Amino acid sequence: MTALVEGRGLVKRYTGASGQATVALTGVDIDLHEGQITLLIGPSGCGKTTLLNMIAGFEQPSAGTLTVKGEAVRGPDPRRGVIFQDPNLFPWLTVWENVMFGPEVRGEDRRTAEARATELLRMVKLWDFRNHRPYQLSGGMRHRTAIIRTLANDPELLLADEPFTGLDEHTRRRLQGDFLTLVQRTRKTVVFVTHNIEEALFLADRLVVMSPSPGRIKQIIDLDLPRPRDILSDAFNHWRARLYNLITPDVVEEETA
Amino acid sequence: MPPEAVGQSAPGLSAQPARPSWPARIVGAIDPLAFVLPLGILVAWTGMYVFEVMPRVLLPSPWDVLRTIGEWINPDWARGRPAYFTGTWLNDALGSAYRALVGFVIGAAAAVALGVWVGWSRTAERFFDPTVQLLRPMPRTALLPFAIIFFGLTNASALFLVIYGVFLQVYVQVVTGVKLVGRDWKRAAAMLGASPRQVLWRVVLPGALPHIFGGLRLGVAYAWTLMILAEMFAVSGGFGYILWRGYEFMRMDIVLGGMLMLGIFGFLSDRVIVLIGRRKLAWAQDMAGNRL
Ligand SMILES: Nc1ncnc2c1ncn2[C@@H]1O[C@H](COP(=O)(O)OP(=O)(O)OP(=O)(O)O)[C@@H](O)[C@H]1O
Ligand SMILES: [Mg+2]
Repeated sequence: MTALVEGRGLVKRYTGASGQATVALTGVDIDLHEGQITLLIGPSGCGKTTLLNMIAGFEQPSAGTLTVKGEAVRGPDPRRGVIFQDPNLFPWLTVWENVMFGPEVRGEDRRTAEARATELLRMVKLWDFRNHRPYQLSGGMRHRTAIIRTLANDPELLLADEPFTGLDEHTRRRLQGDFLTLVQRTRKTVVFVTHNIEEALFLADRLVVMSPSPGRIKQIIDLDLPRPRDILSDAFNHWRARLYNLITPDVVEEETA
Repeated sequence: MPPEAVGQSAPGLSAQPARPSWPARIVGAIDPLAFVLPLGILVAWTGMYVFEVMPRVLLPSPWDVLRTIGEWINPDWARGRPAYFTGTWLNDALGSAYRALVGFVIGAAAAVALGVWVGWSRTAERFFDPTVQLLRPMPRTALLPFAIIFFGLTNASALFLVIYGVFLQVYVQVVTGVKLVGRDWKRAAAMLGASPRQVLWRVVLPGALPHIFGGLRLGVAYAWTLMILAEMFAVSGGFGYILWRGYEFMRMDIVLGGMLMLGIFGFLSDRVIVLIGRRKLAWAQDMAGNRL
């Protein structure tokens, strides 16, 4: 199987205004296969967003190569949709206009796009709020708007940076289910960042566990749990414990450092 | 898909509550607190007149000034003494408003166009910005002799001065606004498929609007200032002309009447910009949790 995205020896160094350098990421080799859901999990500051930004084309790697379908990533592309860690909506547009932004700038057929936007808005229960502007919404509603703004653009590759963080448990569960259904139906390739072990185990085909200072990949796990996954099953609980033990030392180290 | 979902904008806009008629809205918008300070000044002025703190030739009474304004507006209200300014008010007002507002619109439009370009493109910045920054510290009033020599004692001199001054005032704000538009908005737009041109029109311009609005407010006040200067020396007509003649004839009632008119017109034009800003920047006000 050839990979859709191939990263080899990726390094990202940031130089601050005062000249001090931070190594955000080092020695990262990563393959993303078509139709697979890859979960990035690791403590705060280990470079998850940085990796996503490079795949999105927002930032260039300081060293290493990064290709999509064999071509080097040069800049952002609508085929690679990003759900940002902050909702990052356009505050001067309404919910509806935000969601239609992508289809409009790409000149997509209006009817198709509106049908998809309508379906998505109903899915996240924001249809009644379509004429509100972002700052008239709750934080969770803004998050949901941001999620469907990206989905309404129907990207091949979806880069989701903690999209469900800040939502209540019930909404989160429901959206995880809806998200999975949608992604499987439209056969999207997904990179999904989370801090939540259960979310990772529920969604992942593949788990990339990262560790901090400097950010790097600690372990890659192909998760063979059968779907649909039951979060209360023994197999799930077994993985829950395993992943917890894998991540905790880094978190503790980070906190005492 | 529901049929109502097809349309230019989001379908099924819920009915807005009926807005009150505009006279009712204006009365409703009047804030009593705003009148305290002006009334205080009026009382102090009257007191100074009554107790002759200054010679009455230098400080006429408020009602004297009001009468003079009356004569200015309508010669039939004149108190018999023939004067050069009676009945010219309408012409003066139209002339001054024309010079100030046409100059403002042209200057501001040019500032927005060039400012957006300079804020957006590093090459444009390198080409234009040093020259603009060189001109900026030069007092704009110093350009009047130059304008008169170039355009003569005409409207063109006044317009030139106003356009030039407004341009410099607004330009700086536009460049700042464009440069400070958040990187994440631009990234979001690019990731959704917007071309650089679309990012500029759909993200950078609206994102810079709060700063541009601030620039327009500074600019419109400046337009009146420079218009007055031009009228004092280069144009025979308008509030500035009347004001200066009043000074030359030692008619302080005329000077004060002219100043009052300028204040009122400047205030009204500023209000128009604020009202537009309140509408166009509803989002920024939501964001700040504050009203302009
Ligand atoms: N623009 C930047 N300039 C300088 N340093 C940066 C920049 N962006 C990120 N960093 C640094 O890179 C490191 C990784 O940041 P990154 O945002 O990728 O972390 P993360 O894994 O997404 O964390 P979190 O889970 O908290 O979102 C951090 O140490 C951060 O300080
Ligand atoms: Mg992050």
